[in-house]
Order: sequence, then C-alpha cells, then structure tokens
Amino acid sequence: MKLGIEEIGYYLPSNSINNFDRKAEFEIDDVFIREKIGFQKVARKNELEKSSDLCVRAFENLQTKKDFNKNEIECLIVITQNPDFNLPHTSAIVHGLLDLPETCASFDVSLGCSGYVYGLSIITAFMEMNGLKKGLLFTSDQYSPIINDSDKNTSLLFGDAATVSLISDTPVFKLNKFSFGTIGKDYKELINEEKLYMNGRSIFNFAARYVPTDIKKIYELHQINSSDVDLYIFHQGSKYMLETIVKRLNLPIDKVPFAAVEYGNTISSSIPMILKDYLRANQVKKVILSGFGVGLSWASTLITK
Amino acid sequence: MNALDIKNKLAEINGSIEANDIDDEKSFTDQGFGSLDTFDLFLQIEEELNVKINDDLMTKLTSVNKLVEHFSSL
Repeated sequence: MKLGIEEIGYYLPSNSINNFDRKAEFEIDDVFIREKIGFQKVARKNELEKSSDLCVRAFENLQTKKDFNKNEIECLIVITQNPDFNLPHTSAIVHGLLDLPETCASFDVSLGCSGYVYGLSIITAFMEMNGLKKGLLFTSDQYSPIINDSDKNTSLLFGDAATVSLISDTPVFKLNKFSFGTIGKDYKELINEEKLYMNGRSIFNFAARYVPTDIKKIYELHQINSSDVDLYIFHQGSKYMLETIVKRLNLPIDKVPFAAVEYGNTISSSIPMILKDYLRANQVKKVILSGFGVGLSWASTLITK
Repeated sequence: MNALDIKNKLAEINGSIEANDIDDEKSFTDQGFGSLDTFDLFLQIEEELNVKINDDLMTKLTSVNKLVEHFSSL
C-alpha cells in the first residue's frame, strides 16, 4: 500500500492585522516589512475560536474540494501546541465535532513548525501498520493568544490558520524518505512561558546552519540533485530567513515560493498552505518539504507524483 | 579578517549598499543595516573563523573597525 496526500483543505480567518499600520509603534519601515519579514499582514482568529474550531473550518473546505464519505475516515491527527485544553486532546474534540465513526483513532502530536512533515511520516506509518486507507492530518496551531502584542520579535510574524490533509491510498503526492533532527539544549530560544518569547538571532542561526545541510541529506537519501527538484516548500519563518537558505543552497528563487505575505508565519500550517496550490500543477512532480523551528526541531522529505 | 572582508560580506548580505560606501567607524545601524543583516554577518564570521560570538559581545561589535580590532586582538 502506498499512502500519500490526496487533497488539502485550509482555513484562514478573515480578520488580520496590517503590519504597515504598526510602523510607528515598532519604528520600522516599508523595506523591513516587504523585504525582511515579508509579512504585510498577519491573520487573526476570532478570540472565541479554538484550535478545534479552525480544524472544523479546514475540514469544511476540504469537503468542497473532495467528495468523500467521512464514515470512511479511520484515523485523525491534530498537530498543535496550542490545544483547546490540556486535556482532553484536541483531536478527540475535532472527532466529536465532525461526528466521525467511533472506530476512528484520534491523537494529537505536540510539534510546531516541523510538525507537518513529522505528521506525514507519523500518520502514514500508523496507517500502514494498521492497514488503514483514509486518514486526516490537521495542523492547527494559533499563536495569537500567546503573543505579547508589543513584542516586535513575534507580533509582526505569526498568523493564525489551520489545514487538513486527506491521506489515502489514492494519493496525488506519494511520500518518500524523511530526515529529522532536534537540538533540545536550545529549547528556550523559542518558548511560551507566560507569553511567547523568541530569540531571533538563535532561530536565524539555527535555520541558516541546519536546513541547508538537511536538504543536502534529502538529495543523498533519494540519489537526486537540485536540478531534479521542481519545487521547494520551506517553512515560512520570514522572507529573509527563506532567502538566506536559498542563497546557501544556491537555488533558483522561482523554485522556492514565499507565499505567506498576506497571512504570516502559520507555524505547522505554513507548508500545507502552499502545497495545496500545487496538487494539480502538472509540471510540479518532485517537491522537497522542510519544516523547522520550535524545539529546536526540523524535518524534511521529498514528495513525488 | 580585515575591514575589506567585512565590508564585502555586508554588501553581499544587504544587496543595496556598496562595499566602498560602508564607513569603518559608523555603526552598522546608522548605515542602514538591520538586525537580520548583522545576524547574517556574525553567523558568516562565526563559521569562517570557527568561533562563537555571544549576544553580549555582538552588541558591542557595532562597526567594521570594532570587529577588526576585536579579532586582531585574539
């Protein structure tokens, strides 16, 4: 059985904060917004909406794209570090809200920006081990409740969103080999204690040092080189960070989209938010995905049509 | 590492400021380099010289000359 990604649904809240309106507050200019962070707006959910609510909205979007019987869903994973409650797990709440079959396995995975790529490996391994044919992989991690609005390092960057990937035995994108890593000794560099804290320099250094090395490992694992890859979808940490990785790998910039201009860094949703637009792109057959951030943690893989 | 090495790195990182236009004495900030530019510069120096520049030291090495002086004294 070869499992993979058949379709992707998403939800972006209609509300957002315009970073151009915050230039005086943070003493920043247009160049900083357009060329450095790259996020002109950051999406903001309604205060009353919880992680599970955004999952349900993403699922509704998935249903508009793909006609399937939800009674066939056999497992459900939610990637989040901002669950509705400490207990129960958000996936159980989503399971209930979607009225899925009682035989459907449901669990959460606590990962941030590397979560989608990790999640692809986890859900397909779980499904293969148990002979399952249809599963849902949600990403739903909203930082807006934990952001200090006066913190320039975080409040201009992070946006709220959720996605859901339909994982099935009739995939558009098949999965291949993965690479993972962790630098646990640096966990305090991006942490939520009372509010979100990020050491921008540490996170920049981490991404610039480790992601290019991991992409080269993906080349080696699959016996390919950069010219074989049609598209690279990297976590959208910031435009500057993405361009630094591009420079270090000497990649053509047109193969590496920065697409989060209007909604911000959506943590584990950042990769599927872009990948959804390439499911039907016939010329895009080999895609490298790489997520990296809180942990510090990273994960990369190659997906192919 | 000499002043020209540092200015060439800064020019390549920033993309809109020529190396010849970079003043050795003025702070990076006063010449239009942002925090991300300096993160990138210090990372490249760390990698090239195989040294660790902690955050406290970075806040003191705010110009080309200060960087050159620091590394020539090691």
